[in-house]
Amino acid sequence: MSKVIGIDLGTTNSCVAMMVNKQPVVIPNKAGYRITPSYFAITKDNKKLVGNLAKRQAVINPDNTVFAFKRLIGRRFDAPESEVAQKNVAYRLIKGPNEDVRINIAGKDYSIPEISAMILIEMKKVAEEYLSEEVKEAVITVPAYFNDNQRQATKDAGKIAGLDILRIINEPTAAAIAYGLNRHVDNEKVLVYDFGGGTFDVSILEIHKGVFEVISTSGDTYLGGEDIDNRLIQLFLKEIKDTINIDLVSDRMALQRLKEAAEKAKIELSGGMESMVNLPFIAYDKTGPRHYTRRITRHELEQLSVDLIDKTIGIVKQALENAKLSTSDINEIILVGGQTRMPLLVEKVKKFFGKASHKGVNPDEVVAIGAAIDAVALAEGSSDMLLLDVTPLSLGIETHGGEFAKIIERNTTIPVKKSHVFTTSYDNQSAVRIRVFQGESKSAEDNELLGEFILSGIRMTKKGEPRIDVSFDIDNNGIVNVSAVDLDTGLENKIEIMSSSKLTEDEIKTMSDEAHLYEIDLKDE
Amino acid sequence: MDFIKGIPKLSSSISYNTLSLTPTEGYFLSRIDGVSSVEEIASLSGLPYDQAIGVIKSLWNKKVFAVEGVEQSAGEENDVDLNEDERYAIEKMAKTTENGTYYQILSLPFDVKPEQVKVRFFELSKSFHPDKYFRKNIGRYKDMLTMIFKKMSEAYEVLYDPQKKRWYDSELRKPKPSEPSAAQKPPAPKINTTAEVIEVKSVQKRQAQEETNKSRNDIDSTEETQAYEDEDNISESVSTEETVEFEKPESVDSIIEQKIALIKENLDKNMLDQALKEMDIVKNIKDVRIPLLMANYYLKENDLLSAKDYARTAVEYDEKNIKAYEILGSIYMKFKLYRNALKVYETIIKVTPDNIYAVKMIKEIKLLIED
Repeated sequence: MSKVIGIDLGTTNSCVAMMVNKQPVVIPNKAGYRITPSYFAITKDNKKLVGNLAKRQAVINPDNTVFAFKRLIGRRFDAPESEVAQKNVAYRLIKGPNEDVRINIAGKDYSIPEISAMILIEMKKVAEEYLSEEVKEAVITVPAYFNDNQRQATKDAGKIAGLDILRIINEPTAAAIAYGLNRHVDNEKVLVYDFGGGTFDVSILEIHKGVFEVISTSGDTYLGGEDIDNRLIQLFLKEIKDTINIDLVSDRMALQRLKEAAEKAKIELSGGMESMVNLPFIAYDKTGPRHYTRRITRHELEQLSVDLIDKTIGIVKQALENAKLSTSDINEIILVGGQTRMPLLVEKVKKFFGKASHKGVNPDEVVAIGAAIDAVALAEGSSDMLLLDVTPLSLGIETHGGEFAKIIERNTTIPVKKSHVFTTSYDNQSAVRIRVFQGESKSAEDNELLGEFILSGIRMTKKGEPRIDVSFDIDNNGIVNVSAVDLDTGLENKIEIMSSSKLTEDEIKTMSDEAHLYEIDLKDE
Repeated sequence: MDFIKGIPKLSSSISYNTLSLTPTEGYFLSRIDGVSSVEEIASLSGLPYDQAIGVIKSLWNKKVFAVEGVEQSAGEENDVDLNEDERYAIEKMAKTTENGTYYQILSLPFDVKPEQVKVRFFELSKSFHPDKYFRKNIGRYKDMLTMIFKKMSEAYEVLYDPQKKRWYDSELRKPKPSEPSAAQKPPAPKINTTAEVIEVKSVQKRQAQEETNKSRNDIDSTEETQAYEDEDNISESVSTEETVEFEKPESVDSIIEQKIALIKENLDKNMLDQALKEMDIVKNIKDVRIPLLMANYYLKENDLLSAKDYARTAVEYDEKNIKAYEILGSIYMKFKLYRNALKVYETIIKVTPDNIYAVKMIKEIKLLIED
């Protein structure tokens, strides 16, 4: 049987792991790093670069270097998320043929799954080189907060990369699985605090002799380590403006350099008490080139970011409340994401829970390891481990007045089937439109639209009389089917929920062929 | 491959000794008489039609029988990757989940504590979550597992939550209408699905508009009439439920004695069903007499499949019960599952070494097997 791998497809970095002799192994890339930057670029001479190479040339080629695209996956171009994202990146977003957001670099449009596939191909290649054999199947992780469109688009990315995606699992769940490996965990509650580059997630799981049940997940899709970088960048920008009176806000090259300097300083300040920021030739004015040099202390960074960390603690509190638990109910706290190396953060978490977090997992690698364990458990039909997956967000339909009627609550174990009976709002109404949404807002429009269909041929009668049974059916792969039946006439209509990025099979095939060409190019080098 | 209309005939080339069939498959095998069509066999089997067809299909794929005029293509639907125990467990559980109460599904007593519900749910998940057979070809068992798991988590959700459990218990205790209602009688009260009436936004007007108006903002048509709100019945039933005093079962023993007396007096289907329900409530007390009575009843009704299930339950309750083994043995004989029958009679000998009947049967079976 060919090997299966686990991939943590991160906003800023990605990681690949597999099980060798029942032990997880994180596979280093060609450059020797165990994590690979989620960067994709096209150079001036039309060469495609992925990972470390792409990140290294990002400064000189900002327009054609793509990063943090995970924030865009499964989004429509018109979505507010796309608008916010465009403000933070140098590359250009455009509207795709299916309303989806695409990225235009080097004169060509790329869909987000296509770019994600470039990273997946790279991770696949890393594993294949290590094993000297082909890898075909993988489990990929996504933030717990990803909606179905985003999960589907991630699956599409896998298809384009030529991988059969066994399952999409949540990052915090993967971390808990890695924690539970080779440990006899019985009746423990584990809280996963995942402060990634781009998102913050907190999940509470219950582990019972190899069965993992997600009790609650919360988070903020726009709170991550990069926000701390941005605080530093804002500080640098302000100081540059104050001292040499040059505003670098619209200077992309300078911004890229500032971003890297900020990240470097932040990382150094997790280990040391101070760091030097040195940016020669950052700007130019009548007097000639200007430089920016500054000493920054850990205390300064903490002052800049303490409110963000307090915000995460607030979300943890909320997650505990949702699960009707108190801090003392939590047996272990697992920290995930490079940002959790920050001493202030470790301290705050410890203070909140009254105990230290779990040591012995590498916060950058734990998610990929968990994915690899799950991949093997699925592929081999393990009887020791079972992941009881849940719906990340509530599912329902739009009702009269644009209200959102939840049919399946978030955190419901799947597979599941639930239904509600609805009725009409007009006399002699012969058709209803079933619009399927996902989210937590009371107003349907504020949630993510997953799909819609019409049930027509309803018996014409007084409003409120017809009985229309709408049922949601989610299988163990998370595929959602929605059907509506007129209980009086037996008429039925249904849809399988598809990604709103709406890549067709043909498109995926074409993209896959192109991506494959790129893979061949690499092998020829 | 439309063999469904055809008349199945047993393949002459087949050797039953080398076949591995589940009891259910054995039952269907015994129905093939060269006269009845596949369709007739399925509809007279006592199993839900689709399930029956599924079993017959699996026999067909094992090339146990042939249908005149229908070509059997090689490897049409490969054998499922499940051993007999797994198949039996899944089928049995599927049956329980189809008709059983939440207590039966999780095989828990009436007075179970939430923590126990959770532990049992997790245990059962390991056996019945579809992921257990993720990469295996398990054919129709996939759907069965999915159905089982959905029901199991429904049961977990209700029994784990004290308030929902109380509501469910009171529903269970409501007397059933004596005559079958127009709708199929629900196996168990359903939470959260029945009577909530919410309005679906009208699209009538909008549909017409859409043809001409492509703008993205035609979400609301202005003529919408005032909302019609139906008080939902669920909250009602929850609130009345508070006043229902929780009936303490009388002594468990006396219930059983009463039931058994009743059943003996008047062996009828409704009584048995009722007894089964009561049994379920006190399931932690495993009185072998009830499944035995059930098995006898179904034997009389010639529903061998059900009879066999109850005989097996009886054996589970009391592994030294000769009566149960005898019933089981006779059913296996009727199914022509000689090896299984042999095992049963050998067990009888182990319990009562001088059982003449069993000795005789073993001799007979050995002869049959040699044939």
